[in-house]
Amino acid sequence: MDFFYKRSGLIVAGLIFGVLTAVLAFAGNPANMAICAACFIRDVAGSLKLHSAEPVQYFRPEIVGMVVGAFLIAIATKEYRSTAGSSPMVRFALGFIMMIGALVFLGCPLRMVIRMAAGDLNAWIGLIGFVLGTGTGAFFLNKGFSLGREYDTGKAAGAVLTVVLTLLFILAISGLIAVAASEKGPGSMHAPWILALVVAIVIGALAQKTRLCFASGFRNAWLMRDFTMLLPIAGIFVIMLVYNIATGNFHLSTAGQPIAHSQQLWNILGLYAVGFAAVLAGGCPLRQMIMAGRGSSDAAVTFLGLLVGAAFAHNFGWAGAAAAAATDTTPAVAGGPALAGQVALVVCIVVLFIIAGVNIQKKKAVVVKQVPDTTASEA
Amino acid sequence: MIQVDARGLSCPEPLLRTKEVLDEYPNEVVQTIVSDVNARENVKNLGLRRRKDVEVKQEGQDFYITIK
Repeated sequence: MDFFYKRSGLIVAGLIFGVLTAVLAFAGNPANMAICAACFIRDVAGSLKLHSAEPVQYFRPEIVGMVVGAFLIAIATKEYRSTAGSSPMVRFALGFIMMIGALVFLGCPLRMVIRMAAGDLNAWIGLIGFVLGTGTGAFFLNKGFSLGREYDTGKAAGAVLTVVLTLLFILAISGLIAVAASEKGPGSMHAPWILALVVAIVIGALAQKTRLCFASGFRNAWLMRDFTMLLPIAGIFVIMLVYNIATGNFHLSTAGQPIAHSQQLWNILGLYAVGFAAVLAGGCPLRQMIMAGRGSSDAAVTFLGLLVGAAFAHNFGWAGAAAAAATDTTPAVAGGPALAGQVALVVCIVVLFIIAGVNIQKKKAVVVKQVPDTTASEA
Repeated sequence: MIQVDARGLSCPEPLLRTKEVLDEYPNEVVQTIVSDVNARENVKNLGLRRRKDVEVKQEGQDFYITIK
């Protein structure tokens, strides 16, 4: 298990993650969206009728699986720890904002990498925003930004999200609650649920052991010129690139990419918001789910922010639309966010700066003191 | 010895605060206390990257990483 803490382990984990992603891609998940934390949380929100955008409603087993996988491996390796108390409502807001940004770009950072590996140049351009966003977050971290400590809480509290998601999934799959399920569009495209669940459980476990996080890879590069956490991301990219070339799914272009748009300013700003918020929140959307599985109620609250953000985005028209070519009966659609979405995203970015500025600790949160050196051996 | 209590702090604060202390006090022994394994690994690797001796001890659910 300690193997995954080493560089070689991180590369191997990335390759395994890439293979699992390719399995889901092959098995029927939407194009260039084998796994997307943001899109899939949005689809779950739709299935629970928190929004009514018909093409994107499906109770994605991947969301349940990733949280459950992290939970199970944490319990098995005695790393489960029930914690809470680090500015939960701020984290809710950060989750909300990450979702708004992701839905403007049409993907979380993981989907950004998957799209990049398919030749989607819109994602390569969006990467500029993500890098700048993580850099902005890193700037505030250096200034002393902190949301404070989380503390141990009752053991069961940290398992609530895992249990609730599992129960909801059982109710949904068995038809005991009437969840919505898209008949057309991305929500109708999915791998068989058992495969999706099992693959996601493995992914969740792997992500918990390797501390995989798309924000940390770039953030640590900004903070310390440390590129270690980019290794698993590179592994995923390489496998998906090979998969796409082998299956004829690689097309180098901005136009004609599935579930994407070429409004580049908004691709950049959308991922800028995601990168900035992810650094302030201590992890990207996928990492938040993993931390929630590990027992963090703060990360669970961030997950709720993501879920509610998805509902708002589709209820109020803030999400970006996919570009579409003209057909016999319909004109071409440029896609991207409508004015409401543009305004919402800009407001979100302003709010991020406020959150960042207000939470700079004048006295650093950590206690630093001189103590007798009890580790020194006797002369 | 300088002790950095980074328990309960979000990634990457334990790493950052340790790095700041290591930079400010290059000749001191620095001991960081963290409360999760990811922070433990991040701080441990920081010490190893700086070619220091790193010792990790677990007390309860917390980890004490001593960097010499």
